[in-house]
Amino acid sequence: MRRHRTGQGLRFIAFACLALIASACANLKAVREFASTSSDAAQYSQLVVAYVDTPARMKRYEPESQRAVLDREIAERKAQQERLLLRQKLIQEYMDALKQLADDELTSYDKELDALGNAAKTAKFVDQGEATAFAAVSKVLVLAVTDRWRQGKLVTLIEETDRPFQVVVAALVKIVEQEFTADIAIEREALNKYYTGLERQGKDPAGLAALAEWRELREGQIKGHDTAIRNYAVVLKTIAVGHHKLYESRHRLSTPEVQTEIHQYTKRLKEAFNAVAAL
Amino acid sequence: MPPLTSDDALALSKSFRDLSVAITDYRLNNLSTLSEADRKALEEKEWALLNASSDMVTKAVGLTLDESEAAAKKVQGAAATAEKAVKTLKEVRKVITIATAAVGLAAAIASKDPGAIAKNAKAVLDAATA
Repeated sequence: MRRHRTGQGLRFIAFACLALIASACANLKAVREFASTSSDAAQYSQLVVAYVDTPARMKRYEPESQRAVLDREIAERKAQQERLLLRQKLIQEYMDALKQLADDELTSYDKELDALGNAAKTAKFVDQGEATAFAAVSKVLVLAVTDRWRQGKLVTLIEETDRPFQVVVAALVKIVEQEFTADIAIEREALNKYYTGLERQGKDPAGLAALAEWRELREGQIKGHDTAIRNYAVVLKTIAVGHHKLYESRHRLSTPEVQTEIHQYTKRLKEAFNAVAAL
Repeated sequence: MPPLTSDDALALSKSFRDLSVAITDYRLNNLSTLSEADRKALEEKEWALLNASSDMVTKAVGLTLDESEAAAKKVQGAAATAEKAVKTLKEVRKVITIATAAVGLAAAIASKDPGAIAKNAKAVLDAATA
């Protein structure tokens, strides 16, 4: 009789805890999606490769006397390539880690805990009613403790990383938006000098027409490159602003309002990245 | 003299490029009056200035990377911390699996069934070494 009451009491506690936890469990889907999209978008490496190869492309236009300078420049940029790609990789790795930590699956132990409950029943250490209650309470406790721990880690991570993360992304934005843009402006000028010189010297109409076509082709490539630079800068800026939003909302990441706002950043990120990838 | 910053390098790059463009414009606008030697000399200067501009872009990129190196190291540390947290949570799952297998083994021992004991002992070993 007494045992029966104990079993009922445990079951009541178990159901109460389950109801409480079900409502308190964090839904971090928006964070996970934002981190996942950021990770995918950050790894776009074509712009770095194009920057490293600029001096090699400049050889097309420049006189023989400039070869040694261009060769030195090629070597210097090759040496920078790894650092630049590593910087992009760093953003990708951080976002991957954020994504994993925000993954709700990580704290879902349903199957394992059900199996544990069944094993306890089979072991006959307690009566059937108590075994069920024991399994339910264990489940609730494990979920509550681990989910709280996970959320705590996520908040600490975002809190401690936002400042350096903003510095790292701002540096990449500067490299892309200002320095790669300056690089392309130089290439555009080289192209202009080269083709204008040839056009002024040329007399054969067919040759001039072919020249005009080549010029148009090269100018189109530079224009496409320029557009990619602008869109990738938007990608990086959206990653930075989105992360700062996570920082500002770190204590209420699973609320519907914050999830909606984070979702907007993910959407903007996807649009900008699709524009880069389409080029 | 204070060390060159990425902003300084970028500003210098623009100055060199603007100068190169100005000389190109001058040369092209005065092609008929310039001697062949002067034209060639000016053209060489234009390319040299354009390459100096490119050189400054390379410097600007290198300096921007240097200036943000300390922050990059902190982000790297944060990513490692997060990975460790994920690993810890995955280990919780493993602990539960081992506990489940251990309870199964205890039940088998209680039932004194040698076949079940052997089967459950293997399950514990598998769970612990997975």
